Amino acid sequence: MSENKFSVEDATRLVAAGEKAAQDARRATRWFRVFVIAQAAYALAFTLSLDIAKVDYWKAFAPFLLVTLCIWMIAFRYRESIPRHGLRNMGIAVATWFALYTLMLDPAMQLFGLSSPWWWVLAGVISITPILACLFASSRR
Amino acid sequence: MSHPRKDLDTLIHSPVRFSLLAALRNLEDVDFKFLANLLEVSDSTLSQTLTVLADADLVTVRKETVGRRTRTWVGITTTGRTAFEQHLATLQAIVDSGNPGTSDIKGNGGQAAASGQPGESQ
Repeated sequence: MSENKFSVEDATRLVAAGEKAAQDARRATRWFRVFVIAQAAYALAFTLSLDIAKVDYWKAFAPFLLVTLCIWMIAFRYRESIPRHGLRNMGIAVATWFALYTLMLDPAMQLFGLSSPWWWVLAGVISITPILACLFASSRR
Repeated sequence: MSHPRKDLDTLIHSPVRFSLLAALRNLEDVDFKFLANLLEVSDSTLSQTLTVLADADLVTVRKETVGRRTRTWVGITTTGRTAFEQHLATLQAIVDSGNPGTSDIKGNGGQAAASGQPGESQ
C-alpha cells in the first residue's frame, strides 16, 4: 500500500501554487483582450474621424493602417498565448467591420440622407460589434 | 466525521497536474508550448501529464495542422473543472483546519506514490 505524509503546510503550499499558476495564466493571456479592445477603438476612431471630423480618407487611413499593423505584429509575436482560433476570428472580424461599414452602413446612411453625427456614431458602434464579439470565449467555439 | 484528506483526488494531487489544472481552470483552449513555458516543465513531462489527465477525461487535447506545423491545444473539461474545484476545496478545508500534525494520503493503486512524492522533480 502506498501512502505519503501530507501536512497542513503541504496543503497551504499547494493552494498557494495553484493560485500562482492561475494568476500567471490569467496575466499571460490578458493582453488578448487589450488587443481586441484596441483594435475596436481604432476602428471606431477611424470611422468617426472620416464621417464626423471629416478628415481626408487617406490621412485617416494611413495612421489607422500603421497602428493596426503594429498591434497585429505584437499579437503575432505573442501568438502562443492566444486562445484557439483567436487570431483567425479577429481577422474575420476586422474584415467584417470593414465590409459592413464601407459597403453597407456608409452607403445606406448617405442614401437615406442621415446627416446627424449620432447616426454615424451608431453606425460606427454597430460595425465594431464583430470585433468586440472576439472578447467572448463563446465566439471561438 | 471523516478527515477532509480522504476527499483528496490522488490523480490531481501531483504538483504538475495540480498546477496545470489550476492554470487551465479560467482559460480557454491554450497552446501546448505556451502551457509548457507557463508551468516551466519540459515538453515530455507536459505530454505525459496530459496523457494521464486526458485518459481521466479531465482535459482535452486537440491536434491541429497549420501548414506544415502541428499545433496542440489543451483545454479543461467540465469534469476536470469540477474535480479540481473539489480538490481545491478539500485542500482549503485542510488549511482552514490548521491541524499541525501530518495526515496520510492513501494512493489508488500506487498513483499517489507515483505522483505526489515530495522528491518529484516535475
